[in-house]
Amino acid sequence: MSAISVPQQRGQPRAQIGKYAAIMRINMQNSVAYAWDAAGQGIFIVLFIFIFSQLWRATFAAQDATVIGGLTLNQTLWYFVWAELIELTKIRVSFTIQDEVKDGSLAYTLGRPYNYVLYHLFSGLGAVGIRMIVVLVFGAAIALTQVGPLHTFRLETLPAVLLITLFAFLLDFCFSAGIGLLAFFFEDTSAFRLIYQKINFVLGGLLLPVDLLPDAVQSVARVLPFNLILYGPSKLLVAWDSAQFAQILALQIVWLAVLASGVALLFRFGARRVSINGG
Amino acid sequence: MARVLNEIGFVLHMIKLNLAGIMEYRASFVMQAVGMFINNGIYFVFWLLFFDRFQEIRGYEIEQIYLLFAIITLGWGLAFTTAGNAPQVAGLIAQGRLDYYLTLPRPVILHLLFSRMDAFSMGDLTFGVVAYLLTGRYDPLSIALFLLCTVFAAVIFICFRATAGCLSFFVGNATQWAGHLSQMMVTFSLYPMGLFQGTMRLVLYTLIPAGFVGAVPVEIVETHNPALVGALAGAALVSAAVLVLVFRLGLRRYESGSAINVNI
Repeated sequence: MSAISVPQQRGQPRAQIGKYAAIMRINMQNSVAYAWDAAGQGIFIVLFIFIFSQLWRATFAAQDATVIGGLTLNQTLWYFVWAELIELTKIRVSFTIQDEVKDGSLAYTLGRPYNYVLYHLFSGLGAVGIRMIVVLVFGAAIALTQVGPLHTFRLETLPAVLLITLFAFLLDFCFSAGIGLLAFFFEDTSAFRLIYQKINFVLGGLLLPVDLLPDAVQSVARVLPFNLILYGPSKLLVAWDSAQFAQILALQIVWLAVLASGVALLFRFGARRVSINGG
Repeated sequence: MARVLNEIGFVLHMIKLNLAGIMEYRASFVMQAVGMFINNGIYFVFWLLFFDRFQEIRGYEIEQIYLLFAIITLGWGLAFTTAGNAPQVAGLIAQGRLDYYLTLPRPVILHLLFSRMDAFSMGDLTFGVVAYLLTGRYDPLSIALFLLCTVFAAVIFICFRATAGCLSFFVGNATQWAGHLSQMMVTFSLYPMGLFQGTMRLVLYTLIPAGFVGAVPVEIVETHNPALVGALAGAALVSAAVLVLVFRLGLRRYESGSAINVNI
């Protein structure tokens, strides 16, 4: 008995998944070819971790403390390795979308059988893996030379940390895509990009773990989604807590729903403003 | 002397034209400048929060950070508001687009650097002034030294960025690496120099002169030390000499892209 193979119809779930998986696979292959480009990001993580190691070593010494904000110097530095890793390898799609909106090339993609925003998401995710590995090698190397291996690392919690990190990438993608789509309404979106980046630096926990912020700022930071992008995954890596994991994951899912809806609406309103002249 | 004055006049004229150019897109200009101001402000907040918790680190307190930020942002703003093409040098060389400058009867490097203005840097300019107001140093000598230091810092910023861009003459497209080097310099300069010791400190006063755009000016404004003013002026001169030398050496290896460009 043999089954007759029927070609997958457009719109069927399996065909949809296959389509985006193919986009991701192609970009993953591309990123292998350009793995050396990630070395540039690797240099930055070395730079930042070196500076942070000097800063925090001096701070721990000045305070005559072994634990600050619940973390030892060893944990603090590895916290920054993971936070910088996310910051340096995340999907930077806002420039691409802005350019495609401004030069009109977005119009060519509207008639194609894929969702414009999802296309960028999966092509970005395809490129993230290799970049993360390269940057992590650089980051881990400098951290090892400065403070040695992470003493609190537990291999069994790594899948959960990676899951939280994946959601962090998705949340950041929503912000990045949203900023790029603002090009429908503003000539230049660089200012929004800069401000978003710097908010992540402070309220996201890139420069200072959220636990070290003053109470008033901390309470604001914890209700906003930025800490779920950098602080959440990094804190769980260095100081695993099951209850905190569940809380962060739940908040990430809620914020993802909110932000993804915002991006979809922005794209729908923006696409109405596209006018196509000639070919 | 007449020639120097003539070239200064030329540079000022280009700055005037560039300003008129970016003012054509006024809304975009204001947005970029405000964006950069807020960008700096948020970074500044990090240090406020840090010192709120830890008070002092290797001789630096929040007052020194105000001054450090004031000098670096005003210096950076001055540098790239006026010489906005410095970050483009690597790309222009790699694409063989220096022909336009080579055919005109003006010093190539001056013409190249000052033929563009960066609207973002206006935000740095204004931020630098506001940050200085927070330092509370309103005596005329401190203000004069502050302004002088920012001019020297601007010269060093421009020369370092452009020299890094000149790597394109020797290694192909160095756009990314020139950007990385420049970013490295400004990142190191924004931290108290006391954090870095030994070889690293030597690098930060030579190969990547971050100490001369941050820590040295801070000490000058605080101590009014004339020897340090001389050292800073010397560093600015050396930066300019290195740029001219590297640019001249590189120009011998330059290959035209044969592209037809119209600079508007």
